[in-house]
Order: sequence, then C-alpha cells, then structure tokens
Amino acid sequence: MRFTRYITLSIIVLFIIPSFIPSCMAATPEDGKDNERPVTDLIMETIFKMGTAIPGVGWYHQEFIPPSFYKVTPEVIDLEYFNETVFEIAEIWPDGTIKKAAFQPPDTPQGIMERHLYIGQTFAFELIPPENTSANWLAYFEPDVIEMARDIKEGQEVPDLKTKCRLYLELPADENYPQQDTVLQIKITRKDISGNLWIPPKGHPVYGKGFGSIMWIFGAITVWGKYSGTTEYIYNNISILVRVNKHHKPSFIPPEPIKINENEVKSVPVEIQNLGSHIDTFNFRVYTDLDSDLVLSPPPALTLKPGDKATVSVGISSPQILHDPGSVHNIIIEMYSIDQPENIFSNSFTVTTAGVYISPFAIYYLMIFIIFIFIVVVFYKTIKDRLFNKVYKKPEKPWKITEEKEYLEKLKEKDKEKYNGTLEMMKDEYKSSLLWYSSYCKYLLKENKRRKQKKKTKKTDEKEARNFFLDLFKKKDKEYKETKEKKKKEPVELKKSETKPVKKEKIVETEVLKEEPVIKPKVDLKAEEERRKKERAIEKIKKQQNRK
Amino acid sequence: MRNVGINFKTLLLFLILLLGLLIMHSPLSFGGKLKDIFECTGQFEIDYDYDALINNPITPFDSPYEIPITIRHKIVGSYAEAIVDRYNSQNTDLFARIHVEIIECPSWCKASVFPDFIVTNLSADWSSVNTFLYITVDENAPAFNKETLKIKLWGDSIGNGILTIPESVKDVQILTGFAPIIKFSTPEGVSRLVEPGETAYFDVELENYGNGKTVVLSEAVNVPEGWNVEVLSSITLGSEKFGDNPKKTLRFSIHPPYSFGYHDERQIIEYKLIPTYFNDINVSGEELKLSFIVQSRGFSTPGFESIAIITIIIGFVLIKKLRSKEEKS
Repeated sequence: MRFTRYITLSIIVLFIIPSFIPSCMAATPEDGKDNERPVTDLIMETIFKMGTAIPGVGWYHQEFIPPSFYKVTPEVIDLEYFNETVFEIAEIWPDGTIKKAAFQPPDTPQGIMERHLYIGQTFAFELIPPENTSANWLAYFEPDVIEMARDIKEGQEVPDLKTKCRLYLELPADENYPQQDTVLQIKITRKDISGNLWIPPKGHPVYGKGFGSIMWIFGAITVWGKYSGTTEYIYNNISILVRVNKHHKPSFIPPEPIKINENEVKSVPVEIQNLGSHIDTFNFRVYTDLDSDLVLSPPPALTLKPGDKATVSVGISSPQILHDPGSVHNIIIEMYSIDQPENIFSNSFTVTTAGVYISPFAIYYLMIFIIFIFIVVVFYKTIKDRLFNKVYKKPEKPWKITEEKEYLEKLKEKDKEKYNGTLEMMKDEYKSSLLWYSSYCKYLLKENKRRKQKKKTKKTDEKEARNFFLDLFKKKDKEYKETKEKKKKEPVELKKSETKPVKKEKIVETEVLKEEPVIKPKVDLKAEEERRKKERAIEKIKKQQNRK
Repeated sequence: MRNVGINFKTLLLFLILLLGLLIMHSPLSFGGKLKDIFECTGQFEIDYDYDALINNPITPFDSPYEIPITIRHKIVGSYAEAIVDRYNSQNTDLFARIHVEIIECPSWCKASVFPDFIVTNLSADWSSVNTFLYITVDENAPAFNKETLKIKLWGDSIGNGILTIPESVKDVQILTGFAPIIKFSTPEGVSRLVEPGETAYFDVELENYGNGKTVVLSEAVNVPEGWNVEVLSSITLGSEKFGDNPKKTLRFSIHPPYSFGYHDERQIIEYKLIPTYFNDINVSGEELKLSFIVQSRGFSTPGFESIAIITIIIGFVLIKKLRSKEEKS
C-alpha cells in the first residue's frame, strides 16, 4: 500500500506539478547568477533529464530520419564551353569524413539498427538546369544512382558514397540570350525503404526483453511506427556557383576578291560577328605574303555584344610598280580577344593589284624639263631675232605691205587665178628673202665675229710685242744700272731713257686702234637690199610678161 | 477484483504509468505547456571581412570571389544549458543543423554559399562555424557600387520541437569593381588619300559598354618624321548604368609633311587608347590599338606663290607699257 502511495506521489510530482507552474518557469536567470537560480529551475532541469533518460522516452527527442550532408569538390565550378568539367558530390558524416556506400558492419549495434530500419537505401543525382537559359546543359553522373550495400564480404573494399559529375555546356541556341555565370542546382534524392519497425530487430539490446519490447512498441506507436514498410524520399538540393568562362568566337565574313590599281589606297570592309558567349573586345593583326609590297592597316579594336555584327575596315595601300599585269595577294586577318590573346582566329581574302603606274614624280619632272626646253628655245629665238634685227631688218611679208595688199585685193576681185598666182609668187619670194636674210645675217655676224677675233688677236700680238720691248728695256736698264754703279755715273739720264720707250709704245697702240676699220653694214646693206628688190621686181614683171 | 487474482491497485498503477508515458510522448502533453517550458531557440550572427572587400572589389568577369563567412550561433531559452548538455552528453545524434541560403541578390550578381547545410554541436554560448560565399558579377554591375546580399539562416527543429532555430536574415555588403569595355567604330574607314598641306581626319565613334564613367586616354605612337598628329589626350564617356550618354566621337587629325615639291608618301599612324576609371586614373583596362593609313600625294607650293604670281603680273604689265612707249617714241 505504501509502495502504491509512493508511486502515485511520484506521478503527481512528475506530471501534475509542472502543469500549474509554467509561469514561474518563464523567468530567465541572469548571467553569472546560476547559483541564485530558483529551486524550481533545478527541479525542471532534473525532470527533463529524467524524462529523456527513461528508456523509450528518450526516443521522443531523437530524429528518426536524420538528414544527409553533402560535400562538393570543388565548391565553385570554372566551366568552359564544350569542355568537360568534373566535380564530385559525396555524402559526409557530421565530422566531415565521407560516408561509405554500405551499411555499418552487421555485428555492430549501428549495423543491426541500419539493417533493421532500412531494407534498402539509394541516392540518385540529377541536374536541375538553370532558369532563363537557352543554353544546353549536359550533366552525366557516374554513377547516377548509389545503392547502399547490405552484404559486405570480408576484405571487400567499400566505395565511398560519392558520385562524379561530368558537366558540359553548349553555346546558347538563342544568341540574344547569352549564358553567363549561374547557380547550378543538383537534386539528390535519397530513397529510404523501411522494414518492420513495430518490433525491435534481432540483436538489439531490447530484443526479447519484456519491458524493453513494450517500450519499443510504445515508441513505434508514438514515433516511428508510421514509417514501417514505407518508402520515404528525402530531397536535397545542392547549389553550386558555376562560373562560365568567356567563350571567344568571332566570325569573319570576308569580302569578295577585290581589285585595286597601282598606288591606290582603299578601305576594305570586313564583317565580324561575335558568336561567343560574352561581350568581347577583339584586336586585329593584318598581314600578307612576305614578298608583297602592300601596306596594310588593321582595323581598330572592336567590341561586340554576343550575336552582334559590325563592319570594320582594313586599310590597303597598293605598291608603286610601273606595270603590274595582275598580282594576287592573300590578305590574312588575325583576330583575338584581349582577354585571351593566345587564342587566335584567322581568315583571309584576296586582293588583286593590276595596272600601270607612272610615278607623278617622273611626269612632274618631265614637264618641268619640257617647259625649260621651251623657254630656252623661245629665249634663243628671241635673242636670235633681235640680233638679226640689229644686223638687218627682217624682210616684211610682201602681201602685208599696204600697197601690195591693195593691189592683191583688187586683183582678187578681178582675176582670182591671177591673184592666187601672185600670192603664191609673193610667198615664194618671201621664203627666198627669208633664206637670204638668214644667210646674210649669219654671214655678217660671222664676219663681225671674225673681225673681232682678228682684232683681239692683233691686240694680243701687240701686247706680246710690248711686253717683249718692256722686258728688253728692263734688261737694258738693269745692265745700265749695274754699269752705273760700277762707273758711278749720273742716274737721271738713265731714268729718262727708261721711260721713253713706254710712251712710244702707248702711241703706237692708240694709232693701231684708230686705224681699225669700222664696219657699217646697215648703210651698205640697205643699198644692197634696194638693189635686190629692184632686181626681184624686174624678175617678177618679166615672169608676168612671159605668162601673158 | 481480488477474486480474479489481479491486484487492482497494481493494475491501476500500471495504467497510470502507461498514461503518463503516453502523455510524455505526446507533443500536446499538458496542453503544450510542458513543451513551452523547455522550448529553446537559436540565434545567429555573421561576420566577414568587409575591409578586404573594400580593398579588393569584385570585378566583372573575374574568377569567383570567395568571402569567408563566420556564422556564430547559440541556443537560448530558460533551460537551454540543461537541454544542450543533455543532448550533447547522450548519444542522441542531435546536432545543430544550420541552413544558409541567399535570398536576395542583384540581377548582375550570381552567388552561392557552400556549405549551405552545416552541422555542428549545440551550444548555449556563442560558437562559430565557417562557410564561404562565392560571388561573380557581370558587366552590368555598376562600378564601385555598394550592394547588399541578403542571407537567410535557419536551423532544423530538434528534439521534436523543443529546440527550434528560427529564420534570421543577415546582410552582406559587397563592392563591385570597374570593367572598362569600349567599342570603337570607324564608319569612314581607316585610310585616306590627301594632298600635301591637307589634313586627314578620322572620326572614331566611341561607345562605353563598361560599368562606369570612363576616361579614354589616347596617344599617338611612333609618329613618322615630318608628320604631325593631333588628338584629344582624353575623352570622358558616360555610362548607361548611371544614365549618362555613353557615346562620343573622337577626332584624329593627321598632317602629312608639307614642303615645296611633289609628295607621294604613305604612313601608318598608330594610336594607343587606354580606358581608365573616371575617379581614379590608376584603375585602367587593357590597352587598345588604333591605326590609320594616310597617303599624301600631290604638289606642294613654296608658300609665296601668290606673291610671285602678283609680281609676274605686275612685271608683265610694266614691260608691256614700256614697249608701247618705246614703239610710240
């Protein structure tokens, strides 16, 4: 009876008292004042500890379906288009070590429990493609499903509970929506197939024990019985940051073959499209065959958004070759992203240079030479005409003489034929007179020149003679001085004798110059011309008479 | 009852015990009051090195930026210490399981936290675990702009609801870097044929695709002897990200040699352009090249040709007058 009373009291203490003292439990003890905590706190803590220590009751607090923790290596994926990127996903224990893909050994309490709780357990891996993308993500898991091994033979190596993912990324189908960095989701599905959870497993500490078995059944009723014989799916999503590296891919649309002339400068348009994944800046290099003299200028750096097109210009200056029947030059354009200069894309187009090139330098200097020659000729002619005019007046055209002109006009009115004959005759006459004029002038000039030459020669002879005599006098004077010094005679007489011959010489010279004949051709020539005119007039009359 | 051989009191006691156990197992025990008494919650704090972020901003297109984050957590409640001691001392497999998730992030930013599901021992005092925040930003991120990422932290309920770790949202501030991207276009080509004394002008249209106001420094390189080049040493382009005009035209002037005589010279004139940040010229991008072909062909006069022509005309008139005078006399 006493025992019954104690039990009843205990139950009241355990369960009834807390129900009416919750308000006093709400007070939180101040820091550092644990010793001053109310006795009720200690009572409640004791109740809690006792409650969790009671077999069966402790299960109430436990997690029946523990979660899985995963580790991804590497944590961030550096991905390149069309390249395989590999990463690993593994399930880990709370301490970070990787789990094995098998249950614990069957002779351990954990092994017994696991085998009882799970008939089977599998892990499946699946990629969830990112939203708002037109890129094609391909993920291959090796293996894609991991099944926990139940029967492990002795010495058998148990693999880690991990999978290897091979990830590929193809370029976006929609060029206007480029794929960039993203957060990739990997869905892991854990499938737990539970066994009969209503009774404790064989080998379990409570198995076959009355009170323990009853407690197990209590636990099953209240906590885990609902899972018995069921299949549970536990989902985990792992987020991995994927850095999609820039994919550089320019596309060239080279121009049609171009023909340019010699020494010509042209800008050749080249269409470029960015087929890469990101906005990209490209630099250019342009070159041609090594033996080509073409001067090339690469297009400026070009920045394009993905899918954008632009036209750039390649500057070409053709060589200066006199004659090019047609040379074909292969122009190579190299293009590279400034982010990846080692990755070069090249394309080419053809340029044909043909034509004749005459250097403007040559034309220019030839023209200068021609102008110079022309000026010289004109100058010479002018000088010559002037010189001839000085010597003798140039004959006038007979048909321009006033009298003759009037005569011809009259004749033209009267007799056309006669007029023509007369005019013809006048022209012949004029030609003849010109010939005469030219030869006569030349003769006179030649004669004049000859005379001048003669005069000059004469002057030279006189000069030589004078020098001869001067030398002679000097010699004599010297001899005389020497004699005088010897004899010590009067020096005055000697001086006089020294100067006298000079004076004589001067007189001789002037006389010679005066005696020089002066040509006065104009006076004589006029008379001669008059005479010739008369002769020609007579001849003309005679001819006319003969015709009649 | 005595007649059936069962002690009624014993049976009653057993039934009471059974009832007590059932009540104990029930989450609604005592109308939830007992559970309320023992219930504890978790608290979070996060730490990260903001100074390091300021000194080394996150540049677009760079490798993922790693920010170590320390999560500090503790369990608070009337009987937190007792509960934590109990859970940690017994083989209960009960741990603090912390979830981390990025819930708010600018559109130009991609971020992830790893590990995003952390298991650690329960503690009634502040204890810490580490995780990493990985960030990449694209070209749309405004340069040197402070932005905030919101991180949500929460924990799994432990002990059948006795220990709950509610959601907590924390801010992580980031600073973006400068990514200069300049587009050039030469609609009129890159080659010119000019006469000596004439100037070849090349108008280059610049457009700023970058993420900040950009100053483009320009300079001619290897200018051939006798040639003169002119270009603005710097031009400022606005950024669309800040609502400015990102387009401008830069004029390059090239003067071929000018001296008396005929000229037929061609040269490639090269320029280098360096985009730099408006507020800090030391923050610059890749050097870009620009080149033009200029051919100078033609005759260049000595410069006094007009005077010479006038002089010749005057001389000619004077000679003509003199001659006419002579003829009259």
